[in-house]
Amino acid sequence: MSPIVEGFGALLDPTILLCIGAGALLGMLVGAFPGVTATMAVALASSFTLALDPLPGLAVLLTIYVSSNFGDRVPAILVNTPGTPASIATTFDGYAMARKGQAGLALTASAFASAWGTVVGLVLLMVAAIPLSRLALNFGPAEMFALVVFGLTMMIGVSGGKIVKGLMAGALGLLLGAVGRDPITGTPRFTFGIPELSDGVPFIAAIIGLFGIAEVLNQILTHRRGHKVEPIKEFGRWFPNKRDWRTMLKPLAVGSGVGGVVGIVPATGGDIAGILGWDQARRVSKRPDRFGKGSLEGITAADTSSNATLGGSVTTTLALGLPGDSVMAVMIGSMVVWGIQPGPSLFTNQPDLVYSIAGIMLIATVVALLASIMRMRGVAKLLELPQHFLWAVILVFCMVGTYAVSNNVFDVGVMLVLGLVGLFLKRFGIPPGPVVLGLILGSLAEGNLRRALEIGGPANILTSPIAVGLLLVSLLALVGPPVRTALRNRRAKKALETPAP
Amino acid sequence: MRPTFFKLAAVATGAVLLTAGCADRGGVTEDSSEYPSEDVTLVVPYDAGGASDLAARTLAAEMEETLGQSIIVENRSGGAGSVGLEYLAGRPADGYTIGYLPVETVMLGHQGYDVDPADYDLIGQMVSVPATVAVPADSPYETLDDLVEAAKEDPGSITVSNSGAGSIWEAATTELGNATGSEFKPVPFDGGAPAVTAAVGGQVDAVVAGISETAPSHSEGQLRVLAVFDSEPSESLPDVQTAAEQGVDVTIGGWGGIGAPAGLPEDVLQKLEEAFAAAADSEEFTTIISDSGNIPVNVPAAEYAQFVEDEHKRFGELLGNQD
Amino acid sequence: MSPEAPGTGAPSPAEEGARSAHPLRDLVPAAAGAALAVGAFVLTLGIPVREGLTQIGPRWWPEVLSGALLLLAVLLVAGTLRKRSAKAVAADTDIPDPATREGAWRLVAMLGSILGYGVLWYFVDFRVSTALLFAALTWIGGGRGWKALLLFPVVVTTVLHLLFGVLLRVPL
Repeated sequence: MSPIVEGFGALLDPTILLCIGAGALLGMLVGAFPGVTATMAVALASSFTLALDPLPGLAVLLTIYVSSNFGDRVPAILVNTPGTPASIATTFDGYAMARKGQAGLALTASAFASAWGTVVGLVLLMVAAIPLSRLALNFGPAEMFALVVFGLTMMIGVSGGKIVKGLMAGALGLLLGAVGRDPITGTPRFTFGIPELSDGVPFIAAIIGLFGIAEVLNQILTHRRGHKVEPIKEFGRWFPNKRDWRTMLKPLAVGSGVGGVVGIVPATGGDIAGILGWDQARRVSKRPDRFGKGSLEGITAADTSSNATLGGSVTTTLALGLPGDSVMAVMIGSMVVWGIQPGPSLFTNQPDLVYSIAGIMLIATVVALLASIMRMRGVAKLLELPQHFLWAVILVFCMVGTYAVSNNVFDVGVMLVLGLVGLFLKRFGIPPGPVVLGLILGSLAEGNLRRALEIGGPANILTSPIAVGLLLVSLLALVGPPVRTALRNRRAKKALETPAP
Repeated sequence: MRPTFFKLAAVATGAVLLTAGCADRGGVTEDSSEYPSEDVTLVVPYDAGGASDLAARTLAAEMEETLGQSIIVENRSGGAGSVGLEYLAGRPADGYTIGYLPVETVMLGHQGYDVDPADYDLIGQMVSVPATVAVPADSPYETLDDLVEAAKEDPGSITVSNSGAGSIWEAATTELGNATGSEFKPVPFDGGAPAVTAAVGGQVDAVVAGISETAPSHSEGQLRVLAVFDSEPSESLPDVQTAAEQGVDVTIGGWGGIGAPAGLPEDVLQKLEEAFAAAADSEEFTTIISDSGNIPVNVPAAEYAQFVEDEHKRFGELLGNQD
Repeated sequence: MSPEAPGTGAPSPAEEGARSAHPLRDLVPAAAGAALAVGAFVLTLGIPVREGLTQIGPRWWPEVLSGALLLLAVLLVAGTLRKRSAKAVAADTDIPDPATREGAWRLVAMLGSILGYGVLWYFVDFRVSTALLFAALTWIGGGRGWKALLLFPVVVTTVLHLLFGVLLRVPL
């Protein structure tokens, strides 16, 4: 008990609370800015937090990490542009809700779901860090490959009922993911001799183009003078009512579960978890047809799931000393310089520090939640700007944000080109979700498959119970729904044939 | 809302006009004896937050004190570092743009990128990251010799993870095989951390990675580092012998130094070398680098230039088949 | 979303095809997909393969993908033709708003000014070129008056400069 008291007690220092406040402000800001990621903000902040003591320094960095995962939801919901990759799945239903005049509800529900997800992840960290991190070690290339295959089955889910077109979009994404140096031999593929492409298509530029820029270009193309295309002046009610809460209950549970697991698996983060949580909630929902068209369940599941990964990433980082995601990789660098060596011995030597870290993140969650709810009305005012201001702001802010990722004009070009590709997809009714899914999972799928084969041939995959289990689940996910539909049709036919009395 | 908006706007307009007025930075044809009379930019060819970025930023903060001007770190990542290195090579040789040169400076040219160490004036080397080879804690291999013998017995059966295709650690694996007449199977991962994780989890037989990546897991008892590929034992792994001590004469690893576009005026180069030497010797710099698990060094320009030339030749032979 | 509201610009014939439940809405993407698949396959053949320890080479994955994309394109065409013969052209649920001729010009003009910005950016300071771009985009979008064309560009450019240039120290 005493490490808990000591760990949490250490946070009562006003300096630390001040640091949390500063971190929350910075995190929200960079999160909301498309292009600027939490990794970049933490990396730049760490250059001056190194001068601080460990706890205040950690307070700044961890709070940026937590609160940027609140801030990034705002542009996802209001202008269809994910602030960071973690909010890709938020756009699926969030933007649709906003267009239906429910922007207020979408913003608040998203904030509550994000807060709930973060807390679940942190509870996992506090009660079961060591055993969970051991589980993570079982995820080698074979298991990762099987997990990614399961992820690829989601392409059907995010196709929104247009399966062939959705799968084509998925193949496009996978091909884009194949651009760059081969993961095993280093052979350049589809790079056309451009050095920037040898690391692959810049991911953040691609998602901003496909979602945000494509949406703006479409509005520019279709807007008529004197005819209001954008109905987002209506925010609807802000707080979820009793019925909304009941609707949110199941996706909150599903999202927590999915996010918790994905967070612990190394090298997977909020972007994948958000989509996975969204798709799983769709599978168990009573109204799966509404997903992607402004479903409260959808946005709740996506945000719960993507934020539940935070605790998992911190768990892997602290309990194994191996970074759970790119933000934690940067943070390990700072911790080591402060003389904190993450790893199993941290839990025996400095258990109070683990609780302090969890405590900082809990306070940060509360601060971010409060800030999200209070400040929403101000942010939402942005949309009351006339469309010519809004277009200019989104276009230029996305360009500058994308440029800032690696200070390269090439990324901005990729963003604009994919914006045009996204416009094409939109005009011809092809869902953009599978493209992004393919882009995220493509290199993971190929890299891990080939790594697994290098290590032990096909037997490496077939002898792993986790991998085989995941592959079977993927098969079920593929075959299940059509079989169920067929059965239902046959039953319906029978019911028709039996004359009604 | 309205009045504040306009007040803000008025202030902002003033600010922009003011800054735009003094924005004309180009076309400096000043006497180089007054160097440095404005901010210096330090290009880092990787994203902010990595070990290279930390080393560069720490050094930059110390060099500012001698130069008396701000050093602004610019991260220009992409193309395995080639984007930033090519950018640096194309900047004017006036001392106002310098850059962090990693070991990839001598490797990328042999891997199809347009990077040549001759394009840079070398100022000094400040960090060294010797390669290590480590096995899972429960591995049957107790010494480097055990591992090499196993690889000799069944060539290509010993899997060794590394941080990526074409990385220095993959090259180190090949070099170890060449030097011992054995054959390992390199398994490239997507970054150093997943490669070490794979070894901790027992998915591969061994991992070759930088000392700062394996030493923490070694002291936690998750990995056993078998050898350090350096000329002397490391402070962070006092119980581990060097490869040479175990009869395998291989020294290889990552390193980082500072360079500038080739053709710097002599007096500018000298000022930079002085600032570099003072910074690399400073306690602030050496403490942060040793704490992060790497080895701070202070190699002067001439010696560093010779070293880079040797390394360039060496990797040409090692990576030659990839051209 | 919106019904056929009478607007200023008339929809172009190609766009007309794109938005109704016309087979072109399926056939154009199918053709694009097939072209991409063939193009990718041809490029794949140019990837050098070295003999090495690897089990499957660098060509395998792109080959599989381009094959799959081609197959899907064929499936899409087949599905469309069958639907048409059965005269069961279901109403597409999310037909996008019709594009207007005015909108198309606006789009081209905006993309053009962004390209111009890219060139200008190399020669002029970020603050000047960005303020000009904001003014141009706002004007093309329909904004008029000094507040829209002078004040707004200066204010947002300042915000960008403070956030990126000063706070994040991005070399703009």
